[in-house]
Amino acid sequence: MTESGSGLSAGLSPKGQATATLPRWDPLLRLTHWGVAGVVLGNYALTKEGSSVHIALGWIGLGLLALRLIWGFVGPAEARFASFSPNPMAALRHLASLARGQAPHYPSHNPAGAMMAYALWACLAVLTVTGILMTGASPMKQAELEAAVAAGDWSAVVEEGGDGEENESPGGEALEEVHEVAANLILLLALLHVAGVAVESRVMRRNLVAPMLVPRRRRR
Amino acid sequence: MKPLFALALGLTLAPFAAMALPAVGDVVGTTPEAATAALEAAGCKVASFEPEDGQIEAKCTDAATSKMMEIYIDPKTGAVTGVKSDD
Repeated sequence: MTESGSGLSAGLSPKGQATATLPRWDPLLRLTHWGVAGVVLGNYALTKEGSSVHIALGWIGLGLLALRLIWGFVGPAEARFASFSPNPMAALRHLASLARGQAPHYPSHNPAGAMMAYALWACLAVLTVTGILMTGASPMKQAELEAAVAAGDWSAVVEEGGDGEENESPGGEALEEVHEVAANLILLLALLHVAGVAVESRVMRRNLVAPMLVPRRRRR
Repeated sequence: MKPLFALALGLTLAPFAAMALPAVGDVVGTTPEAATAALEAAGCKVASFEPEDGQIEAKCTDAATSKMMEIYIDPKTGAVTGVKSDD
């Protein structure tokens, strides 16, 4: 396996070369990136666990993940999995070269970024699947129940039923535990991801954020 | 002075100690009005009711600790099925 695990050859540059190219992220990749970031932060900071909005955002997160995974097979070269195979040793080498101030450019994710992307996706998959398994109702049904209870009508909840015991089933407890651990882990990984982008952008004087924000032709 | 202070503190807090939170199995009612009254009588002032997994989740503030609590109520029987601290 090459250091980049790359199916791309164009754009790879020698170590430390200042003129090398930054990745060209396509609109769908940028949409899934910021969409997932919004869903994760929204469900962490803004929505109430188990609420209709929380459930809806979870479904959107799963949809964005599915879209990105399909894009990894059919999207442009830099979005394809073949361009950034998981390679922990290459990731460590990349971090070591970054510490020396000589991290090379990559046309797709650098090896450390690639490992982070796979870890984030795995976490998001666990988070959304456990969330869906825990949820007894669809976002729409949950919204109806919330409206009924807010209006003082508990009968809709009686009709909807439930296990009758709050979190008593061992399976439910386990799902909740896994969901919470995955939620904390994805936040930790997101912080590391942001820190990694900040460090590489500063040390190597390359703006890694801009390609994820705006199309290449609009950038200077 | 110290024993006196402890006695004064104990006497001050005594009314709150008498209020215990609802326990699992307590019947608080199957309507928001009944449950609000029952929970408040037990020392937990209700802020809201929400549906959760076939149960009603009452959010209330424990008068003794000022902590937000989650009391789960079976809407069919009106019985408390769970008491959690909202942390």
